[in-house]
Order: sequence, then structure tokens, then C-alpha cells
Amino acid sequence: MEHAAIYRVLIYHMEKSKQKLREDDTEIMVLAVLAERRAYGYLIMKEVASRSERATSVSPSLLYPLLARLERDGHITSDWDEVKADPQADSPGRRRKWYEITDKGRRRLGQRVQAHRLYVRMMSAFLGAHERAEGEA
Amino acid sequence: MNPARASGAPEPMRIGPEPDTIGRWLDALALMRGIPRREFASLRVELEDHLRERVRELMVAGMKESEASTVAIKEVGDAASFARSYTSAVHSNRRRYSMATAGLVFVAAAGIAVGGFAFSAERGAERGDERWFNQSERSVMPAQSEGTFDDSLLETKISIDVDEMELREVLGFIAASCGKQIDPYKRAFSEDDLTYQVALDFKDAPLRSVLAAINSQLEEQGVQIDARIRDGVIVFAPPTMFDIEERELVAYKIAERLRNPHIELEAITTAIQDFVEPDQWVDNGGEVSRISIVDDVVFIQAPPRVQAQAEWVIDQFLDEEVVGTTINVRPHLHEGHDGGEVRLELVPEFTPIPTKVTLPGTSTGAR
Repeated sequence: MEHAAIYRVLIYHMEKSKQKLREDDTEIMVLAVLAERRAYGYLIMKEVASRSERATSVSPSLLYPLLARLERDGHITSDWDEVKADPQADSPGRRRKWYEITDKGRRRLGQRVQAHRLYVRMMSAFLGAHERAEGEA
Repeated sequence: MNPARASGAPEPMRIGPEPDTIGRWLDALALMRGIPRREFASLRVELEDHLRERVRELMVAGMKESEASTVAIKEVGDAASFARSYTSAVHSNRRRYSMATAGLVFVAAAGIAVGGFAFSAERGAERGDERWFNQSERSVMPAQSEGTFDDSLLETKISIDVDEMELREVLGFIAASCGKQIDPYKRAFSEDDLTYQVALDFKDAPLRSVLAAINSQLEEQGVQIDARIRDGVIVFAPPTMFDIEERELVAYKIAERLRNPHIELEAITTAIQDFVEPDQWVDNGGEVSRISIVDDVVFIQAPPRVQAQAEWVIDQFLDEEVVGTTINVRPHLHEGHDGGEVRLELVPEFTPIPTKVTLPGTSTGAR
């Protein structure tokens, strides 16, 4: 296939994926966080912001639907815990939902990471060519 | 000091606790359509925990509670958008195209560019299931149920001219036109689904086209219809239902035939799920097809249409020479030069020709 044709295929898929690109990135980030420790939604958000050095964040409106979908598909499981501002207080505390990655989720993460690496490797080839061209100019 | 009180104005009367912004937002979310009631109870508790935790942190950072609540809610967004986002992600089977797809497209395309694949369109077209793989490499689980569906009825020619008619009546009309009794497969459609109005104007058109027109009109309502014959009765149901019924389980033992022995089988299964009807796969949120790897065997449970396309993708990763020389050698009767002598030969089924690559055919249904 000619390079121009490869480009066309790429651009077509990039255009198609534009809306959902961030969702897939978020999936990798969330599964990666959960691959290391169980966590609840807000903690995952903070962890993503922290690891990316605040370069990116996951909005709650993206995170909670994603967690629900991952749980529905068996990539993560959940259980509930109780949180008390004052551990000595008799009154019931707030309920908190904790998530844990499953074996299926780890496999999913592996596939996504592998696919992402392929993508990065492919893009690097083009970025290198661009940088060389800029250097010559 | 409050300027209103300083000027002597009476303090506004307040009954009960200050209005809870978070509670109001959660109540608003409860009014939104789309999130099933049984899921909402759990989601509400989870979101409340999120919002209260966020408010607490913002207050620790120096904000007042009311201000912190406003910020926390603003981060989550308005209730209607959240409900839409949730419903779309959790209850839609629409496939999310990914960077992974683009990456794999490139890998496949680059492989073609460097001449790594050498298949012809003719070759792809003429291959039947048994021609793609050796028996030792592809085995199909024996059928577990009887009474399969017959889709030949989709070619039946019918005429129908209705301006606005309920789907229920249209399906009855179609069944009568085909001379069949109707089994509307009531489990598959709700009463509401059957009351949608459709307009059709066809003369001697195949049923496949009529159903495609109905599906086009009902797309927004999320209703899709296909038809089959089973036990002499016409069955209307969503295409997904037929796909599930027609699934077969196939095991592919291909590890030793990979052109690149270092490629992971998971990369191949990911490519299949990205390129072959992505919405169908359970791993992608679909409900029809499954794929898994056990030891070195790839198992695919999918309708025959999807199996054929998955096999095409697998084939792109297999060793060309091995394919061309070791499989599909068949007995062939050959007429000798000396007039009528017939002898038995073994000849290769096909020869690889380096040319363009095409994906084999698509649906048999009305989509």
C-alpha cells in the first residue's frame, strides 16, 4: 500500500475515534490505577491527576459511567465500605464503593497497553520525519 | 458584618437546615431518564460520597462549604449531561473506536506495504471455511441445538404500500404476504416497540429491502428487526437475537503457523475485535461474540458471518508459504495425453498471488 493510502486509513480512523479517544485513554488510566491497588472513584481521580502531574484529569461524568461499564463487563468488581468522619461516633457514616481489578480486567489492560504502544511507535515514525524536515528547514 | 442587618433589615426567616446543594443535584439526577432505578440507588450513594469528599477537601483548602459545594457540583456537570453520559456508556453497545484501532490499522497497512501479505481477492472469495485452515487448525464444536433458522425467506418478493401503520400490523402484513404464520417472538419486542409507525412503499421487493427500510425508520427508537423461518413459522426478532442463536464455537490452533512467532495471540484477538463488527464482542460491551485464548488455542464463539471475517484477519498473520503448500491438497482427476487415460493427482487448491487484500462478505440479515 502506498504511504498516501496508509495516511488516508489513519486519518479516517483518527477522525472516527476523535470523540471516543479520551474515553479509551481514560480506560487505560483507570485500569492501571486499579491494577496497583483497590480504590474508590474520587481516589482514582486524584491518582490520575497526581500521576500525570496535573497534565490531565478525569471528570466525574466520564469516570463513573466508565466504572459502571467496566464493572458490567467484568473487568472490575466492587464492594462497599463505611466512612466516618469521627470513628468513635455511633451514627452511621457514609457508604463508599471500592473497586478492584479482575483477571479479565488485567488482560484488557494488557491488550490496551499493547495496542497503545503500537500506536505510539507508529506515530513516532511520523514525528521523527517531521522533526528531521524541520531541522533541515 | 452583613450589610442588610447593619441597615436594620430583619434577618430572613429560615426553616430547617440550609438547602443542600448536593442533595438537590442528586434529586435532579433522579429525575433524568435513562439510568435504571435499580442502578440509580447505588450510583446516588457513590456520587454523594464523591461530592462530600470533594467538598471536604476544598474546605480544608480554605473554601466555605457553600462555595465548595458549588465547585464540586460544577466539576461533575449538570445532571442531564451526566445522565446522558452514563446511559450512553453503560447501556449502549456502540463500540468505542480507539487509538488502538488506528495503531493496528497502521501495523496491518504497513505489513501490506512491505509485501508481507500476498493474498488475492479471488483467493479470498473462493475460500470456503474448510479451505482456510487444516482440520487440525480449525475445529468446530458440534451443534448443541436443533431447529435452526432459515434466512432464505429474506429473498421473498413482497409488495407493500402504507403511509403510517403500526409495526405490529406491518409485520402481520409481511407474514401474510409470505404465506406464513407469524411468531413475533414477543420476548424480543416490547408492546411499545410494536406501536411505532412506519411508512413503506415497495412493489415486488425482496423482504430484505423492506426490513432494511423499516430498520432505517426505527433506528432512532433503537428497534431493529430481522426475520427467519423456523419450523415453518416466520420469526421476527432483532438481528442480535438471531446472531446469538446462530453462533458457533470454533477453536483455532494457529500458534505454530504465525509468520512472526513473537507476536502475541492477544494482539490478534484485539485486531479481530477492533475490525470485525466491533459492537458484537462481549469484551467491547456487545452481547453476541466472544473470543478467548486458552494455552495456544484461540476460541471464537460467533455467528458464521463473523467467523469468516475473523478468519480473514487471522489469516493475515499466518505464514504464507505454509498456507500455500501444506493445506488443501485434494485428489484431482486428470486426463492423460494418450487419449482417455485417467490418473489421480494431488494438486494445491490455490496459489498465492500478491495483490490486494479484501475482507470477505458481510451480513446475510436485513441490516
